[in-house]
Amino acid sequence: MRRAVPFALAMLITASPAFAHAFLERASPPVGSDIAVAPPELAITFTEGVEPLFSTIELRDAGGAVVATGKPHVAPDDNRRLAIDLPKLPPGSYTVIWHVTSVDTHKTEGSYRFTVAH
Amino acid sequence: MHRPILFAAFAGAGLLPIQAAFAHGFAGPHMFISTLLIDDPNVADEASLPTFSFLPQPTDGGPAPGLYALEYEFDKRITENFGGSVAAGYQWLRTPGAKTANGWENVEATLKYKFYVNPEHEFMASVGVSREFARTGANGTNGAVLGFDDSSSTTPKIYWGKGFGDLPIGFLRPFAITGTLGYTIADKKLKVIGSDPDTGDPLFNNGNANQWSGGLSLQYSMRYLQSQVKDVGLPEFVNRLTPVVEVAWSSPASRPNQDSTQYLIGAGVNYTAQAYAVTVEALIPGNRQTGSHMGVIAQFHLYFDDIFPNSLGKPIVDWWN
Repeated sequence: MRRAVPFALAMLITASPAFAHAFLERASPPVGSDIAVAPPELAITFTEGVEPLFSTIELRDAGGAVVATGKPHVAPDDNRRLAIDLPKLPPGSYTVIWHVTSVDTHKTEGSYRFTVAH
Repeated sequence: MHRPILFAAFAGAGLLPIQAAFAHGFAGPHMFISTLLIDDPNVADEASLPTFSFLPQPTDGGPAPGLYALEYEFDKRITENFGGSVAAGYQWLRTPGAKTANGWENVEATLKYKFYVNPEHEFMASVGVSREFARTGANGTNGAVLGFDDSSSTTPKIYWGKGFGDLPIGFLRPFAITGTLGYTIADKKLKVIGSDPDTGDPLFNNGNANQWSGGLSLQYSMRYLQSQVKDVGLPEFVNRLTPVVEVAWSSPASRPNQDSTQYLIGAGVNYTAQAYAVTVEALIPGNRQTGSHMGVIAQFHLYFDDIFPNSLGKPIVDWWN
């Protein structure tokens, strides 16, 4: 172990800057939330930068039908924030299904629900 | 992957292996953490460096000897779903009133193949085989006191993990279970070669009995709760935590044997950052054969696929692509 620990430290020192899997950090509308009125945009902020060309956000209504939305795009100054433009959403429960590729090509996926009250 | 942590049985009965394990992996949105007492089902590029453990050993009277271990493991993918690992470590057995026994553990190598992943139902399964190379660690007096095997052995294993994401009750969905089961086949069978003229107790050769071993872990991912079920507004630090309970078990599978069935429980918490994880667990003996005092185990875990995404962190077959 006396040999092994310095070896690990040396590897860390010479490593490239660490990127990683992109986890959902926060979302708007929030995960599992009940909101009064749907916003014009759905945005997910990840823990790492993501590649919009290789990332998707899909919205489905309570019946499972795909809701037409805009294409996913990232903010010019923050590639961790992936967003889609939303149409006017009628009241109901919605499921967000996302697949993203982080800037170092790691893939992650997830889904969550939110409810529009009015 | 796994590392044999050694826990003594009653005095005079030798030291028995229970497995420790490390790694992480995704099945759909569920990430199985790096567990410490059992191996998880994933194949990955990572290292556990180091894993420290302390566990008072069982006695039949008097103060309990303390077993300290400092171990490492290196895991490398050869293809996307097939990889290998090498693990070893150093141990100290401090017995009150006696000289401390210390030495390197035998080296163990494992090959593992992840043959099934079902993202929708958050399920993953793998098979593997481990080989412990006898006499690569301490032998002689120290090796005998520490209970290191004097002959090699081979262990076929199966691993699996299941997330609870398809349950209808939201706050149960962050739970996941992982498990492993192995059967250790000794190269040299344990045999009775005589009896002690003073006590009449049987004397054995330096072989080993075959052995069953395995375990389960129950995990609750705060990240999964926050990103898949409901964001309750917890700090990001809390979202990176996974409370975990593990139980490891081993039992002799052939006669004669010098071993007894042992259970060891670990209860603690894992913190997973972007490129590393830290886990600390209390070690709780599950029966008298495993001990009667609590210990502790802690691990620093490195994810090479995040630290070295273009070299050490990708499968060997992709190095020239």
